[in-house]
Amino acid sequence: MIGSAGRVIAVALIGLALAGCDVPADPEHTTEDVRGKTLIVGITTDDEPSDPDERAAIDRLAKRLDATVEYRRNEIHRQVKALEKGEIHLLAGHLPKTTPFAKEVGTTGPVSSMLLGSKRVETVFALRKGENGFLMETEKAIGGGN
Amino acid sequence: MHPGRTYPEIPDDKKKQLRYAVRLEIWTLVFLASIVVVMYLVMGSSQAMKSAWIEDLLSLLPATMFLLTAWYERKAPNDRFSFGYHRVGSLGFFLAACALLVMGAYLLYESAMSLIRAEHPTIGTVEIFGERIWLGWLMMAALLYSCIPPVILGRLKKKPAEDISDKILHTDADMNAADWQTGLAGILGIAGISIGWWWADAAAAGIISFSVLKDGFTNVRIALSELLDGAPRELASDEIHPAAKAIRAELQKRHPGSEVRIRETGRYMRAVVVNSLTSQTTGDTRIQYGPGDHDWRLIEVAHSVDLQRGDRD
Repeated sequence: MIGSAGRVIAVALIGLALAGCDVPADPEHTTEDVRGKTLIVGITTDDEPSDPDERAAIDRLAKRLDATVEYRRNEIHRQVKALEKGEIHLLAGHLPKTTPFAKEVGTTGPVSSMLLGSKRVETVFALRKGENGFLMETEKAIGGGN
Repeated sequence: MHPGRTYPEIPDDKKKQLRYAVRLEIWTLVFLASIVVVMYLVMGSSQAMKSAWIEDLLSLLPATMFLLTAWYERKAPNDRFSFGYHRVGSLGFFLAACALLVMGAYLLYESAMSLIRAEHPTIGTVEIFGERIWLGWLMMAALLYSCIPPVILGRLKKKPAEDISDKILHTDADMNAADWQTGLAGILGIAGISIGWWWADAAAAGIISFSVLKDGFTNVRIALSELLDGAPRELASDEIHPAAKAIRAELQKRHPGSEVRIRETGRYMRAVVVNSLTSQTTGDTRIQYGPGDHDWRLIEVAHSVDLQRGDRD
């Protein structure tokens, strides 16, 4: 019994290895959509994120994927909907780690921080749920990888 | 184990098996606790990981119940608990089975809802030694680890469970031995996510919840038959135990024309020879022993057949 379980795991892992470097993959192909084209970033306030760390991370991500950055400004609920539909690739601009939209969107690790009331909270980027390949690219860019 | 509290006295080889089983269950708790911690650390937002983690958490219950019972059931009877405490295990077993049943149903609901809502599990990365690693790989490693100790311990527990007729230990052994299926389902779920199959995770969680539900259902059935004073059952099924059948046959041979009521309290059996299974104390006996208004409640007065003069004093 254990032997057969081991075989199934081995087959699964070999399958993944054969699938090459494209793991984890995006069910909705966000990375593919952005690579060599345009990284569309949704923001809610200024014309581009005021936080230099956030801006730098976005630039690094665009460079990683050989893409140009396009900022689109809109109200937060519309941006979340647009993200869910895949009309924008990333949502940025001082989105706290504890965002109430965490159920609708996926979030990255901390990018920067901000004062929320009297408390300093970490900020994150939001992206379409389940786009794990794109999340990995984004987190690599946040971590400083070009 | 408390050597001073030995009710009833059991043969030396059974005592040895009981001590061995206690050691195995302590090891089970140690390994399961480490698995629960490791799984929690890498759980993320995977539904399959969550289900597997909860199953691991719940599998602490039977081992804990076994240890509590092994310690408590040997306490001597007293005025308030004149049959002793043999059923502590039955009660614990029933509660653990109910927990499994409820949890299984909850996990099944959760995974079904994830599938219906088409929730795409999002799994991020962690930095280890300067390298960004997808958390999914760590989840798979944790799940692989969660398969190994329980399967080995589960196999080791089978024999002592048979030897000391312990239902909790037997069920625990079965659940442990089947743990690799949960781990494997979880690994395949995460592997599915890695190639973009968002549904694989919730489907794996569903499969795991079925295994939890099945465990719960089987255990509740076994626990109920004992709590309802059923005839002693086999360890792993609802069939009447051959030893109980043999005892009943032997007592009927020694008392021709009579019937035998036989039940189990924990690992022990109790038999009473009666005229028929529906017979109860007569009016005379009730008047003799019954206290006034409550005499109708006295339906059985029994003497133990090997009662010695010394025991009566």
